[in-house]
Amino acid sequence: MKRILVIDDAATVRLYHREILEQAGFAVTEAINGLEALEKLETEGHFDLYLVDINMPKLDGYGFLKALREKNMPQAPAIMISTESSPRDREGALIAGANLYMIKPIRPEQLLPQVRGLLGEGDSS
Amino acid sequence: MNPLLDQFISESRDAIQSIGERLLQLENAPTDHELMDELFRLVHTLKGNSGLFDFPELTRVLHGAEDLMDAVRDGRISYSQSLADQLLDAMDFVSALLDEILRNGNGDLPAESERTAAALALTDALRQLITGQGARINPATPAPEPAMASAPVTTSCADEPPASTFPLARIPEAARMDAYRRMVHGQPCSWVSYRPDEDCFFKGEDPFYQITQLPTPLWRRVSAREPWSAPETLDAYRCLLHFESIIPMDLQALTEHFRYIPDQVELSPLSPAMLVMPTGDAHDGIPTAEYLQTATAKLQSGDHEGLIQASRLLLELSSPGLRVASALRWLLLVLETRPEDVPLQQQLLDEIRHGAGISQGTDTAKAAAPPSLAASVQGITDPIAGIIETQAEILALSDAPPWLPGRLRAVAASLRAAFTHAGQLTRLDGLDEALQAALDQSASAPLARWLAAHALPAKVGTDPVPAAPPTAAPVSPAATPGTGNGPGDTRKFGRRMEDAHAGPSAIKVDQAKIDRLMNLIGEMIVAKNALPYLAARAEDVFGVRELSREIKGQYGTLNRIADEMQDAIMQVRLLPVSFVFQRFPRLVRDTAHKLGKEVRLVLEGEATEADKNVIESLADPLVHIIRNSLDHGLEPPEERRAAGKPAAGRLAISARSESDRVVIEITDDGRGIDPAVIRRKAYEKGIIDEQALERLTDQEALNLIFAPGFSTASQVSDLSGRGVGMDVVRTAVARVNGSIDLKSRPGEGTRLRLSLPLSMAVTNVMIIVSAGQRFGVSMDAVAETVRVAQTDIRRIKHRMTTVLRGRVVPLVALNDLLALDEAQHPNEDGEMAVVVVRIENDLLGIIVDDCRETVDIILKPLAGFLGNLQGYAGSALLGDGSVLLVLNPRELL
Amino acid sequence: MGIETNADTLRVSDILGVEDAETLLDWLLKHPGGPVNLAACTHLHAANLQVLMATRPHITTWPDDPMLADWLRHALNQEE
Repeated sequence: MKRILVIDDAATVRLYHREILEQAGFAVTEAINGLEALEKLETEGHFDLYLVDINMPKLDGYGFLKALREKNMPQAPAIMISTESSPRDREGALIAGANLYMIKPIRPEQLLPQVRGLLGEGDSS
Repeated sequence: MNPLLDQFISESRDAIQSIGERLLQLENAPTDHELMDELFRLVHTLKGNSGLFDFPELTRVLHGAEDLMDAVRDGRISYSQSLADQLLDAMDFVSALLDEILRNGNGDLPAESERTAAALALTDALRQLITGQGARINPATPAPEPAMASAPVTTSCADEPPASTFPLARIPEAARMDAYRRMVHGQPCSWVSYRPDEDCFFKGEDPFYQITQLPTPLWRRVSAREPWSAPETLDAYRCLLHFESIIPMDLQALTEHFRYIPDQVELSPLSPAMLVMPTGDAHDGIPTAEYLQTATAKLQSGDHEGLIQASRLLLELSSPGLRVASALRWLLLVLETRPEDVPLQQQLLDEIRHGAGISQGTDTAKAAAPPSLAASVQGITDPIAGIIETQAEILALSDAPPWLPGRLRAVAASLRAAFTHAGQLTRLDGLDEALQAALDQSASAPLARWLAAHALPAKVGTDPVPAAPPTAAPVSPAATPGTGNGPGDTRKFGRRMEDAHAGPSAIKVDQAKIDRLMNLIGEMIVAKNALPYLAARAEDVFGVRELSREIKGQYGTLNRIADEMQDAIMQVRLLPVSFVFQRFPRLVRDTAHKLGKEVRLVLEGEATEADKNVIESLADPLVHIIRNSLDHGLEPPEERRAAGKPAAGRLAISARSESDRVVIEITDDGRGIDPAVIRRKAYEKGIIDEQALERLTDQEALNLIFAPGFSTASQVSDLSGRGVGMDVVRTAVARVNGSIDLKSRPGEGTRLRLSLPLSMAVTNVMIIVSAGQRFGVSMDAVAETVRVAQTDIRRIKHRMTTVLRGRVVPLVALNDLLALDEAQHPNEDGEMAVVVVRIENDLLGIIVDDCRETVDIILKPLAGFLGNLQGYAGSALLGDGSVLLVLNPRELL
Repeated sequence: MGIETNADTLRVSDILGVEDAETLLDWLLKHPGGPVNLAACTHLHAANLQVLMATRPHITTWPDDPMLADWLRHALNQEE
């Protein structure tokens, strides 16, 4: 089963993504900020995909992605999730190491095809 | 309710709580950037969460708040009290909406025009803070003069259009049109916003009477200034009402009507033009261009009939909810009533033009977005094309940060996944080599070239990947525009405030689940208590003494486990007093502000824990006490200075636990209470007689403020003979078996000490028998039980007394108290059973027929029509299945 | 006069004074949702209005006095 790390300081958003992803058959791990996400990498190894919020305390999404991309470990795709359709934020996300930039709120039918695409799963639909 | 909504509401409540706290902290440190960041993030999170649901008003207001905090964080505007107030208002609105969502249960929030309008008004107010202050600051920037700083603010406020001071746009169009017609026909109308003082009931005011005496309003709204607390904690005597209305009366008459309370009302005369305000959804699709051309020509040529006809035609074409339709209706009304008012008509035409302009703007914005390359990626479905395009975009970045290798590998991984997903594995040829080359060169170019060649073969003409600079031109990361100005760099790692959210070691549990545990342990205790009955029956009825002993042994074990279990559940129910204390900073701030006093609030021992019910029961009495302290205890700054005290008063609220009780102390350094004044007042009010006047010690005199019908300050006039004062506090505290104690020194201050039990779920009661029925009396109240020979009962002035250890104790018969028409029965030796109870510091003997064992029970308040019965603390189920009524001796008298 | 309860309905007559607000609240705490009959009510003190707004009981009959009924309906949001 593919493992996805959902990083967001908002518990509601984490639960929302968890419900969508678990129903689609993925294993979800949560982290409440970038720092905790890095700790999860230490303890649980790498994941197959990262869903990353931008604005978080302690270590934000940009910081997490940069730290992730500097690590000497298998590099999996990451989706940066923002609340704003901002070109500046989008560029910042891609620079930091995101592979996709999506705007909240993300409906399941928008999220799942991208997730499946980035995980290289056969098109089941 | 679904778990996601649950989570949303609980997280939102936490966030609102934190926002309130941070705002108050920011008041003391208005330039603290970490606090601002934290505030922004809290609002931002709330807004993001709300977007997952269909609560448009919630999202709108939060969006406004987020923009405001963003501006504060960026230093575009500075923190101010009015900003804090506005933001707190917005959070109150959000809280109220959450309550409503919770009430509806299913996550629906049916559309309601008033709410929408309120959300709009709030959002406008928030946005105005951004634009208003921004505009104010800019002209002042060249020559900032601190001394003059406040002057432009006030002028600019006064210059604001009146429409922004009262929410006319919120009023339904029909009501505004009604008012407009009346005014055009000569009936003056005014805007009335009446916010009665919170403590106005104590001054004998009845705001509802005040407002209902006015002529029937053309529009009105009665609301609460803050969400009502739950009925259980509602303080009906704290006035939170807000009346808003359009009254068909002129300003002078209204001023006269409200002459005693001018500070509580906002009155403004209305003019017809002010009400002309098109409202509704901005929407495109209405062919206005042609109409506007015709209409403008007809307006200029004075062809009224033609203008009316053209407008009617367009109105028929438009959906009535649109802003354009609203503007047309107003135009028709103005044409009918004020045909000469060409400027107003022109303004409405502009409005219609403007409405069309907005939609054009959106289209342009959409067109400006980068054109999709989807069609150009051969044979690949949409989401995958998007992924590939984005990777191309990443490879086109010209920076070379330290994490570039990782980024390249992630891009390669994404591309591999995308092609795999699309079933085009053959296209992956050469990807690994390209990645390796890119890594070797520390540059995106090799991968970019590979992608251009493999993934986008049909691409003709333009190269989607701009020639990326090869490694030969190393760019220092700091100089790269992307890394230097990227949003990621403005926030440093690991330097944020401590995370406000609960750590992973704590879980949130629904209150109902704990209540269920509580009920279950209650039932278990009851079931356990059946065993001694069973043991007695085994022995008495069946004559099996041994079985009886074994049952008792089992009972002992079960008893111990049940006790521990109960203790463990109690632990879960413990809440820190901060649950109640956290309201106080804002309460004290607002109240002190209103009273014009300076107060320093000191909170101590906020981590002290007690049972949830106890904590909750504390809230109202404490609020009452704090208000009293602020209002009557602490002096105004001038008076304090004159007395040689610091201008700011000190109000300390501390909590600590002492064995099985929680002690809360509220101390102020105000003017204190003069026992002589209390004595006189109590005498004047007939609470004490002349003898007592002289006999009472100073401390006893002070305690009189707890007497019903007594209140210290003259302005707290008693309402219809029933004092709403400290007696209410004492009653509330006594209801949870607490006690209250007051010490005061004139000129130096006052200290109130509340002592409450740590938990109140299980009560130890003594079972007594009277008139053939069993009753319970809480052991907390029982001082002792004695047998008194009938001959030792004396009658003094029709009252029975006896002497216990040299002390005269009054006696009452329980049957008399309960109005049972039966005499108490003595035992065979002619002795009466007496339960001596302590009420305050006095002893009272209650004569019963017999005293029995004590049992632990779970006390349930009487429900239904029994709830009105005075004298009972509640009922409990006994082990043998019978119901025990538990007496409340204090109420019996 | 004031508050009268029978058969689980609270009936208000004449004027509800400020001191009645506590009785009203107590009763509504024990009978969430009411019902409350206001037919004979001629005025109620604002404290009572607050209790009604905060607890939202079912109003079986609105006051006979149309002015008061109008105000209460607005306050209790039963009519726009």
